[in-house]
Amino acid sequence: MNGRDRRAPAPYSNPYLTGVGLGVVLLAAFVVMGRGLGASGAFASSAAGVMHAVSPTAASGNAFFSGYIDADGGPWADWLIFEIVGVAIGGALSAWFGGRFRFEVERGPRLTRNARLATAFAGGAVMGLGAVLARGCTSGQALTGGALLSVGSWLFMLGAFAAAYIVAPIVRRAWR
Amino acid sequence: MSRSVRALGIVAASLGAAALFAGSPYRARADGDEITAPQLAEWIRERKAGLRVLDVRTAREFDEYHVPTAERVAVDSIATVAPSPNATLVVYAVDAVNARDAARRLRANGNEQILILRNGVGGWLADVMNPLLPARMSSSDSVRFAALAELSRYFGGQPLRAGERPDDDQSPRTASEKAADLMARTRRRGC
Amino acid sequence: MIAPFFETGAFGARGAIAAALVIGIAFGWCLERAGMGSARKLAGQFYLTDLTVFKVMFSAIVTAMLGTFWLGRLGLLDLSRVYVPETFVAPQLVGGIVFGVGFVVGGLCPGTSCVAAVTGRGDGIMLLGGMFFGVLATGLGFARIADFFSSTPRGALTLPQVLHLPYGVAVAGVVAMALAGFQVAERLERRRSAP
Repeated sequence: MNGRDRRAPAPYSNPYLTGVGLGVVLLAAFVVMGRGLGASGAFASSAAGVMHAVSPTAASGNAFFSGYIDADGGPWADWLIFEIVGVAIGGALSAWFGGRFRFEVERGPRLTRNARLATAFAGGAVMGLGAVLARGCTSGQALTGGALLSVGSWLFMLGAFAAAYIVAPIVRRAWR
Repeated sequence: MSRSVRALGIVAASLGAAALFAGSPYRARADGDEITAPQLAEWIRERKAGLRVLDVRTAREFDEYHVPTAERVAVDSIATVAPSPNATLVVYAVDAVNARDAARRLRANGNEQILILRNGVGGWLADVMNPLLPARMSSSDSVRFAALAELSRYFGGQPLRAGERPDDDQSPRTASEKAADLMARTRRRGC
Repeated sequence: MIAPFFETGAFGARGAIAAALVIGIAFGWCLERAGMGSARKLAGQFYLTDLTVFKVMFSAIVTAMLGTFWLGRLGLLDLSRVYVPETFVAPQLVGGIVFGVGFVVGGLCPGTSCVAAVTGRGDGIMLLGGMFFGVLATGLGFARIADFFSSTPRGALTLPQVLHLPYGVAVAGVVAMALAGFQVAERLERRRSAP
């Protein structure tokens, strides 16, 4: 990593071009696998896997986790888990080539480091609930379902954007 | 950069505009492949000769609920299904993926008449056990739906009128069980 | 051989895993390239200073949507074998709202948090942990929401079906909306950066 981190990071790519690239990846998933992308599903499967490791009886008795545990190959064989590992690898590779690795806690100018870590955790937890209810997140519902014109996915997108815009002024302190 | 973005925009606009006149993106289905739940229900009721209904889900799912007269066959042991000349095999799972996979293996084994239950066990539950009847029906609709309702009741199901919920004590599934079913389906192709 | 290749038996479970990795790598690469691993950048969407989220998302949606429509129309892709997420009106709408609240507080979504975490962002790691906790907690308390969770099912319902429009008309509508949105986004961003 000699000097790479110290040189100026390459600027991000044009959002439209990268968006089209992302669309091609999504299309490839449809063409190759007959399914789209996802992220929160990997969290659900791994949560089920962890539950199963801790208490198999409790996990199998739980309506949410049992579905993941009973699936072919068990919870850890979820396609999405492999996909999300890929996401991590791809993200790391892209950052490597762009010199964009940075050990930091990204936060708004008025937030302390610890406060930011707390909001990140809290935001994540709330999104966890939302993703379970909606059967997905921005990757699985907004992108995948959006491209396939699924009504539920568009409702999800509408709800998410509307809520975020409405709440944004309330949490302004966190970002501006 | 700005030029390539503009070019992409023009391509998108053109493809979008052309889509207005392009017709349907779906293939004409080869309907010999699939069978609807009500059709299967008819076949079971009339005891169609040579009919075998194969459930390729897990033992646990099978024990919780399965289509009446179905036999459970694990996907891995599908080789044990010996081809027989007059047999009609109907395969179902939670969704089409496993059913098609099983059908592929059956075909590789020499079985010929293989059909997949459209929408799997969920389709059976929705279309046969708890079919949704519209609130307002024309007289010709009424006749059709009366037959469907009768078919449903033959299997111990309960037709629903639009806007109604099934009686809680007559519903074969609790909310939790239904949710567990849905989770299993989502898990198959979850997001 | 017609697509989707996995559905038409071109390869099996091991191939699917390989596909998952390759597709995931490409996915993560694009996300990081666009800067979606940066919480500050993502949050900018909701203060109308940086509309990258909108641009990336809808460019992707339009691309994949046009791709699936035309590959389907040309008979190269069997659209009926592509898994369309099922619609559950109430829980998905409410889930979206809840998700949006979490998103604007946390600044990252599940996929982008992985990118953030792997490129050194501590907030990304915390958000990942929060997501896992949230999903786990929801699962443990699932009985309480099971009724709502399974309510208002509509099956694999698409916009063209519900609007009684031909598929292609819905596609054209989405493209038009997206292109118009991009114009608005450019104008908004220019206004913010002007002195």
